[in-house]
Amino acid sequence: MAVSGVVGTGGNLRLTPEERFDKFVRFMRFVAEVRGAARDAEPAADTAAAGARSPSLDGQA
Amino acid sequence: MEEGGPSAPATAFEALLAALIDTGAAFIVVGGIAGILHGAGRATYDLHVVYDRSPENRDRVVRALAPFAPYLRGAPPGLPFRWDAATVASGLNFTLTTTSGAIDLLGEIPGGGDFAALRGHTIELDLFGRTILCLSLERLIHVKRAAGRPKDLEAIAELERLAERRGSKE
Repeated sequence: MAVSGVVGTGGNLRLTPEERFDKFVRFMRFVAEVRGAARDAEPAADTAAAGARSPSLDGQA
Repeated sequence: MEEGGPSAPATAFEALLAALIDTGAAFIVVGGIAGILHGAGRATYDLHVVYDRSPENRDRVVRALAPFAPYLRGAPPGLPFRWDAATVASGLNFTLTTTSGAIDLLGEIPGGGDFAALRGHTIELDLFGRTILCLSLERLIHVKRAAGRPKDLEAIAELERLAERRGSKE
């Protein structure tokens, strides 16, 4: 039976419970880092978007 | 059980578990982390434990989590909530946010009952040099079915697949 959303279950069975837990914790740390990076990038993206609009606005003026 | 959710602060599962273990609290890991320990590959954002409701153990749980400043998850700030033995004695299931993330502290769970009822359906696991009680795979499937939440359906399918592959018997 195919189960959607399941990642690496077969591989996990070869690990000890402690190794499974460590793998999960590392994954969640990675997720937290990615989320943090995305949050940090938001102001820069806004600035870039504003900069991209400015020439056009200047051109119209 | 309300989830911490992907927008919540990351939960430091090791810190919360270690604190509970180090105070000698009697508890059973259930929920998503129990699934992870059994080999599931599904992310979870909070820690669910069933704790023994004896007065002595309630005190241990209070002591264990006090450094993490527990507060009612999802509640507006400023409520007169005090994390102490009297609060835990007067409640049963607590969905909490802490400085180390979300934890559901459960006196009992649907389809599983309380700590004493679940104790016979646990396995002992070694985790960072400590021994913890984790709900057995079969009982975890049973309580997830009993919870009847649509969002658990995929998790149940995965756990059943794990049980098949392991050929485990309770």
